[in-house]
Amino acid sequence: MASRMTAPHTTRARPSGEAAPESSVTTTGAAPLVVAVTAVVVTRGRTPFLPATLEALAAQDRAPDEVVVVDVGAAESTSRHPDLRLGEMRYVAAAGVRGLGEAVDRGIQAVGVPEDGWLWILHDDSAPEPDALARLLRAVEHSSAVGVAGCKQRRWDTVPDEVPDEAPDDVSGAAADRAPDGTGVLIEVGHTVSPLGRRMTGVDESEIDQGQHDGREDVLAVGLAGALVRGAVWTALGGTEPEVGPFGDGLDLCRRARLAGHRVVVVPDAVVRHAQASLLGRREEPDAPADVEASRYARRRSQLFLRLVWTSLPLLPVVWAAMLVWAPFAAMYRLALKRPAHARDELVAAAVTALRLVPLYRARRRAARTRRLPRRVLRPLRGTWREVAAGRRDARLSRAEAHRVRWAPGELERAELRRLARTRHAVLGAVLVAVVALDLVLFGPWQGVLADGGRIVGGALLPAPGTVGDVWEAATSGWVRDGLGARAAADPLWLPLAALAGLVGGGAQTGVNTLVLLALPLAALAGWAGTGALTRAVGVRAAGALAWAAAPAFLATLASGRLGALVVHLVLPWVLVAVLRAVGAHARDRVDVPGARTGRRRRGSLGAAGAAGLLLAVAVCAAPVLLPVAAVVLGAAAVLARRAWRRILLVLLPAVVLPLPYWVQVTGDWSAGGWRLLLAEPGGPVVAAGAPTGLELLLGLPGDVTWFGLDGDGAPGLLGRAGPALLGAVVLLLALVALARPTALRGVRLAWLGAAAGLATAVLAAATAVASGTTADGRDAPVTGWPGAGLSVLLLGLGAAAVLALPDRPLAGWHRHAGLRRLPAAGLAAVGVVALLLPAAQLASWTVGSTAGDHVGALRASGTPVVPAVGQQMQAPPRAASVLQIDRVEPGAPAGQEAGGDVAPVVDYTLLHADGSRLQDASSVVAARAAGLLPGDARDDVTLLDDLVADVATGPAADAAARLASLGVGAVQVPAGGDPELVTTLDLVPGLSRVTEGGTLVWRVTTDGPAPAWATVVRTSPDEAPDREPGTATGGELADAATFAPRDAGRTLDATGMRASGDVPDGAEERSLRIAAAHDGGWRATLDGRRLLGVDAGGTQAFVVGPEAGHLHVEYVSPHRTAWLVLAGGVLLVYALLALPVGRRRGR
Amino acid sequence: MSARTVTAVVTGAAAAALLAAVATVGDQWVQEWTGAEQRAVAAGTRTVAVPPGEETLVCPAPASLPEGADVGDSQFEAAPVRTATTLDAAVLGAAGTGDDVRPPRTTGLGGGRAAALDDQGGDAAAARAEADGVRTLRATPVAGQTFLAAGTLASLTTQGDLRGLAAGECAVPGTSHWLVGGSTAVGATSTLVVQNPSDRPATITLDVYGPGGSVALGGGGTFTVGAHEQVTTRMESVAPEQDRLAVHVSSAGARVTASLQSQAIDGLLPVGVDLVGAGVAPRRALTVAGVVSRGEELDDKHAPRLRLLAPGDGDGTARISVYGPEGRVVLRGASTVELEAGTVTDVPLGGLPAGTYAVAVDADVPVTGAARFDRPGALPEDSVVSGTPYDVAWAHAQPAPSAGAEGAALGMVALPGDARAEVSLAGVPDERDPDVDPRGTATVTVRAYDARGAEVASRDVEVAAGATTGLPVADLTGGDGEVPVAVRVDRADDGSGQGSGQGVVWGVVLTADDGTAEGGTLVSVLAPTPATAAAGDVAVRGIDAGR
Repeated sequence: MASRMTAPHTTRARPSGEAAPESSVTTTGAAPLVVAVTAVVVTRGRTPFLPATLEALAAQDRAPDEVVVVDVGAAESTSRHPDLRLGEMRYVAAAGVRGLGEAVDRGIQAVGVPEDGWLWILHDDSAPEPDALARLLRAVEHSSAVGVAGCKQRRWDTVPDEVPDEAPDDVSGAAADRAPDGTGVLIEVGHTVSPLGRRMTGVDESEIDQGQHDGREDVLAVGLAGALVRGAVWTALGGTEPEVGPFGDGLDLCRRARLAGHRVVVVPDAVVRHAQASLLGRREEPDAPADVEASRYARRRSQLFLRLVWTSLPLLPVVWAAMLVWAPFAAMYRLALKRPAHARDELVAAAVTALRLVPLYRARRRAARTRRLPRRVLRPLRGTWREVAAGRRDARLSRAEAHRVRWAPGELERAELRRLARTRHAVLGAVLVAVVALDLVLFGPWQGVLADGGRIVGGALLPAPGTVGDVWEAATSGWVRDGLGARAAADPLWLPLAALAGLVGGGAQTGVNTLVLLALPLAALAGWAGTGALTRAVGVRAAGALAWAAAPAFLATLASGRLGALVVHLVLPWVLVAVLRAVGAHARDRVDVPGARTGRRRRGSLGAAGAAGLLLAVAVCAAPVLLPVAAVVLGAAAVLARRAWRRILLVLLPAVVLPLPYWVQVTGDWSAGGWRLLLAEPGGPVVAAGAPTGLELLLGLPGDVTWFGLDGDGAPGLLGRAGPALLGAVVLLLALVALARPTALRGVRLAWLGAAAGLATAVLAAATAVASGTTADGRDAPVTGWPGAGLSVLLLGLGAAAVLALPDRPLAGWHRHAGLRRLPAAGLAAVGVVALLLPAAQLASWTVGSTAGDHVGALRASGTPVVPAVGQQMQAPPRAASVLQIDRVEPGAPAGQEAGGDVAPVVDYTLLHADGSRLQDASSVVAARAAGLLPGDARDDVTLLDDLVADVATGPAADAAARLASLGVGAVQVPAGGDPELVTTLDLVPGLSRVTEGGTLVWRVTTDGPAPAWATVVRTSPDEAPDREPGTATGGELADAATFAPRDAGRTLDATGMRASGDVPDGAEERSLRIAAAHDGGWRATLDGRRLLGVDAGGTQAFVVGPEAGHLHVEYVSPHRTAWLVLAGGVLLVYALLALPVGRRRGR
Repeated sequence: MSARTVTAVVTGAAAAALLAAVATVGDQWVQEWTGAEQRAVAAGTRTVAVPPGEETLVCPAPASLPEGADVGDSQFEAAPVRTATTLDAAVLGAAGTGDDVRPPRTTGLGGGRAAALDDQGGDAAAARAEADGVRTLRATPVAGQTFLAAGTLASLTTQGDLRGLAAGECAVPGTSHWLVGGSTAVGATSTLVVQNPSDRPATITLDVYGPGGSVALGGGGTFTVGAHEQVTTRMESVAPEQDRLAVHVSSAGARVTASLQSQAIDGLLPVGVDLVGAGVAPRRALTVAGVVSRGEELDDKHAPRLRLLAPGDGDGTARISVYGPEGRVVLRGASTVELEAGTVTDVPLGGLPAGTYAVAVDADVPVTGAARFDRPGALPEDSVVSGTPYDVAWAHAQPAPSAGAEGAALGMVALPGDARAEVSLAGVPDERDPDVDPRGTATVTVRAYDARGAEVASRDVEVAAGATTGLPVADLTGGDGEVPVAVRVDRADDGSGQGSGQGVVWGVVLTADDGTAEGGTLVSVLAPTPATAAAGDVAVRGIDAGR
């Protein structure tokens, strides 16, 4: 223990032949001066370095006149004893002293320093060479101008020879080699600062002192360890700045000394060995690996503080603000370099420094008091940008070289790796070419329509007109534009959809189209990558890629346009890859060449953890049920991989934060049905054909799937029915084999846990009603969750287990053995062939079965607008009117035929705000509420619309046009092929005038007021709705309260459907602003910035507008939206920076 | 066995068991507590109560000779006697004077010349009056009640070219009407009357089908009917020389009614007049009730005939089932008919024993149709021409009835006062396969109403499946007093709660005397006007557009 606590002594015998300079007696120059030198050694208790330092002090050729050891770590009680001694030295116990300067002051107090004497300041970890003091004194004895003289600092190495492989290749990396015969690694020969105040020594991290910097004399600053300070100067300057701390105190002192008119010189002959214990975090444990990060925060703070102290007063606010503004960017840069601790330091240091105003004032006053010279005298001493750049370049080059020496593979290994890469690329290319060709066969015929601005719709896939902004607004506004709108948390999938739309150039529809068109190749790629994280056998990877792209659940998902499960399938393998890389458990290429760097300890990657967080967030946004699944699996993984548990759990954070409003909705009504939202599939409600059984789901089938439509009797029928399950069965079998094998125990069990969680999800989803919908023939039916996402997890889990069961080189046995011993390899080869054939058969069957005409499954490319141009014109800003689509259908009747006649016809309607029901307006929350599966207030606006539609559809209601206009309906339309009776009824409705013939029929709503618009100023005060419970009013009452006479309508405001603004002139009487949206407390209207009183006008939102003129503005304000966006944005930014592929190095 | 092996075995078995448990037990267990499907289904469609609007039935124009028909020698004048036209109307389940709606009444096309129906203060009203032109029957249903309204216009002419009983039901205005019947061959006249009771003009488009398929129309294929107006079109001028005629009237802009007056002379002998009403829109299953056979031979040109038209794009096959008083009759050689798209086909129904029949047609393409039968008469003794005059009756198609609708109103027919009426009920089995014998009975209730809307008689009638049952109205009322104004048939609720596997279709065969010794030689057939169930309820549903 004792030996550990004592650093190796560095004092060595002087090399022969070099005479010790006589320091106190000189024969040349001016009259010899006898100066008093008081050496002050500041320590914190008995440090491992102190004995060596004291010994070195004692061995000085020119002994100091007085040596004071100031112990700032002494007990309070000890401080009360004066005249303590430590050996021959004076010992001052200075409890409670902070900072070097104060400690030195205490030492001075104890022994006194004559005006013309010198202070020799030493740290406990700075051992001077025997001739150091003498040489220092010789340098200063002839010049009274010198205020501070510093030593050349060399590194005092305390670490034994062995350098760990993983040591960060920073300050004391591999090159911290032992210097031969007395030369050592340089720390500094004086230093200066960059224009921005960063310390610059001009010395490389691993530069060995060969006298190359010995020409320096006048410098801006010297390190205080071993520095000789004229006592008078020290007193005049008031010592060091206490706020600065141990880093930068020398700089500050030297600068003030310079400005006070003194010279600051470095004496390269005088050498002090400095352990930099504080800087490197070794103060307690000299053997600890050097960690330059330990002191980062303190250094950054003192640097920032000094910058504020030394800047001129007029610039101070600018610099102060710039510091705060810059800090986040600096932090982002640090994050991108995968150094979150640095980022935190940057932020905290700036914030804390900005708040230290009183110390700043004191420091500036102290500096101002002693200043004699203008600041510009320092300019020649300061570093220039050119020097900064050069320094950076040198550092980078030396780091790169060090890295190359340590990590780069040898020539043989590289050649071998290149060969592997060639094979890999060839196989991947073949797989992708095959899948892309299939993709072209499927979707190629759509290109014409899509190139003309068409869209892919069908199944759950609704049209997605609009831009990134629209999707963003729908995703974050908290207002769902379903009918007249409702307050609800939007489906979180629209967040990544907005990002995707931005990525492909701004169109939401383009994003959706791209996703669907590229789904198959992307799935193959994802399968390839996911398999590649588990095995490097290219054959297995090819099978994995094909199997992932041909999974029956995925194909059914794609064919039914369920975006959520689609995204999950495309993202999940990448989540697996990222998580495995985050813990360092991914498979790596291995080559059998001598000298190959194998057996390296595996380290996880923080960047991969960041990427995994983002990817998991996307997957969870697409299928919220994956959050509990991921929590279970990652929780188990964190337990099994204890080393990386932090990084594993970090992955969950974005998935929690990003869909936060949705989680609030889910958990708020959890027991009343909120849990159903987890299983809801975003998009339009689609009624599943039949509920799959547990066994079907286990085999990966989401429902009835047959091969090539064969489901008759006999062998072909059997094959047809059993075929789709074969793939799942093979994977399940292999996964069972994996369970029985002794390899990868933890991984296989984790995979099985994931598979079980996925299957449970699928089973639950398939049996849970989440909305009400209609079948293809118009009957009402419950909409259940879609098991697709759960089945993707199941396949991922079982597939991972299956791949782990396979040997790294499945076919190696074939070449190595002969005869019967080849059997295992042959068996594996057979499995491989089957694993390649099954997906191919599945894909072929699906292609044949699902493409009918221009359809792929339920999907089709549509170029015809839902709303004719005249209607779209009304829907566009500034009117933002809506179009009411009505049709009468007979449930149970195939399209174009009458039903039996005993089923009452149903009037189907939808209020269109754009060209079709927008995808981003589909909300699983609203749908579940409407189906009575989730509690929610009865929607007066739905009642209003129901009544209006019933009236319009049954007969010529006289006030229909006025009511339509007051709900912002600009036109009524009947889709092509709609009920002709209904068409005639609409022809007879007063105020509706037909504007199109053929195709979709459109009637314009005409009143004697202005054209219907989203926001209308009405010349009557809104009738306060009488006190009533929500939802208790009958339709008639509601309708009366909700409508206003068209002739009362004043002007309309420019609106977008979510906000409106415009100027209103003076009005004589009370007026009101009516908007075509459901009443909700979140609507805010202001007149010249003044809040207007919101009123419930029978289900719609109204505001009381006084007679004054002014600028009206209406918008929806969702509570906590800003807080959520800031939080989510911050988390996303942090993770995105972490995930950025910079600052990584291979092998780490 | 090392601890590691034990752990591996235990955890592996646990993992496999977990997955197996989820797969086998999971889905059954889940079904028990996730329920709520019914809630979701019920919430899908919402029912909105809408105050019922006024219903309008437009009655056909009285039978009349076309202009220019009455030329020549006064001895051979076409209309030696006046045509007596009556309008009978009955309304059940209508809002009366006590409510703030107008009471049931008959008006002219424009709503003027209103004449209130008689009532007893309840929700029933009726009227029997001379018709003085085109009338409409207007009444407002009571919300939530079954609403029945029926009107019949009957023109009785005993001599001359118009000799015959021409009766037609008042019809609900619509946008599409299929009129099957009549002819434009030499000697035959078919007059199309389109009536527009609404406030907007209607644009009418005619599609005419003949024996050679769809007829290319010259002028007159498209015309406008002004508000509150009627337009009469002679089909001979639009589509001449069509031995078998079917007309599709489609309207845009307003709802109209259409009827076809079919009249023919053979030389100087009148061979029948009737008003052809609109039958059902083309569909795959339809029925015709009240087809009377006198036991004509198969090749008798006056044997009953079934006229079929498949107006769609595809040819098809129709299977014809004939139900008579003795049960199902196999129509030799004509039980299946090839249908050519757009071609009007006549299927002779000769060879049937005497009786009243119902015909059911099942086709693999949408078809519409009608049936006709002739009734020979005698000329008055002072007649200057000799021969046998005929009267013709056209029965238009009704939808095939649906079984199981117990307690449902099967419609109502208004009866003219100067004709004898017989209700002909037919049990039409759901399964009309010729190899399956129909069995079972259904019970219906037939009720009669007098001129003030009061129920004067009712009787439960058992209708055997696959057979027709006749019930003379005189028998129903006991034969004394005046002819009731309306009869109504309801499916009786036999309380079994089980569908009987058959529906009931019915019609009313009218016979009148022409003043000669041979009575009942003037005939016509009426089909019931369907009831409006639970007027005022509209089912609405929010959907997504654009998928």
